[in-house]
Amino acid sequence: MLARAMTDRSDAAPGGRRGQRAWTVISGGGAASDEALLVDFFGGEARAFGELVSRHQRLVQALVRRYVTRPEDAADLAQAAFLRAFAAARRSLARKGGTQPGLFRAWLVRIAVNVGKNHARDVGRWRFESAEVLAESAATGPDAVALLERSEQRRRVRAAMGCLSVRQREVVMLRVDGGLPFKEVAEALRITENNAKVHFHHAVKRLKAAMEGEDG
Amino acid sequence: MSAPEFTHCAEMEALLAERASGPLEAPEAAALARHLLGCAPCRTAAGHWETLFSLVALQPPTLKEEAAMRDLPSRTLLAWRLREDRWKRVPVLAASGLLAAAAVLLVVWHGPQRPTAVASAARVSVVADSATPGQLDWTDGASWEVDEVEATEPGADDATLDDGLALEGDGAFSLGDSG
Repeated sequence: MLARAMTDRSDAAPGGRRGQRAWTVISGGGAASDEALLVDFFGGEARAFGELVSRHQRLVQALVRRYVTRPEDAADLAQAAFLRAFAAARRSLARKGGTQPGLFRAWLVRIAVNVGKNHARDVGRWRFESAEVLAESAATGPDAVALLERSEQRRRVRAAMGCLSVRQREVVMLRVDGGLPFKEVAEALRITENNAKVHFHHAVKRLKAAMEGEDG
Repeated sequence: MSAPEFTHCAEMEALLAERASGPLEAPEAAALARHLLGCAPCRTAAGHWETLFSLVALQPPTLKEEAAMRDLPSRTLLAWRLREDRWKRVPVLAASGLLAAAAVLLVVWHGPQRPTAVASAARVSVVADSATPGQLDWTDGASWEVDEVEATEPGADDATLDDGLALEGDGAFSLGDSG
């Protein structure tokens, strides 16, 4: 039976275009929890698998995109993250008879980040540039100065991102790319929520200085 | 260009940065929204924070990226099933491998040695029907000995298989690893 257990949970939409971003909190009052779907899937209900992947694929995609340069790589990394998360969930179910509420999503986020980092390490590059940067570099006319200025700001901010500590960068990326609340950021990184905020504000201080054109 | 003013009301700066980067807890979001209604400089600062994080953010997925993700649920389920089928074959493959390895070891171990009287008697009894006297086939004899080991010590193979599976299971995933 699909949707055996009914729970309330919230899913924040992962980040999209700035300015068009809406931090929609979707109330899941009528949806089965991740954990109930896992039990269903390992009980033989194949549809539960598709439901879980569909539920989280935008989040996983948003997280792994940072580490790839080719679209097909993002899909492959997302698939790898899901497979590892399902394998981990099955072991947890076998050993403990269940998983804590929200744990699957936290695993998935952490695994997606690790899969992405491993890929970036293997490939040797991160994705900092985007289509917008290419458009800015090709602009001419009255807007060219403003676009050039923005392009320079972007270059400085992204250079500053590269200078952050690993933890600071992870917190910023989980916020910006994944659109996660600090509570989920903390769960995924297995730190306290307060610690996540401290890392975030240290990072923000450096990014702000970079945007203002200061060294740092 | 003048530097953007990120701070007007100092107590709101942290919340402005947090709001521009992602969702806030409901009470914080409500408090900040109330403040912004009556504070124009903070609304301007909020715009600067939005700009900052837009420089950090990636562009939305392209059509090509969306297309690559479209069949992810079905593709991932197929990959999961293939993986499961592979795991089901592991015990058979491992047992076959162990038998082959044991056969090779026995050939290497006993091949160059002169057979003992007992072993010779056993081998002779097995191969006597097909072998010409004085031309015993030691390869056939070795194969027969492998069957004897397999029949009398099943526990050894089981233990090896269990270890192999457990190692793979634990090694495949660890939340403690940060990559």
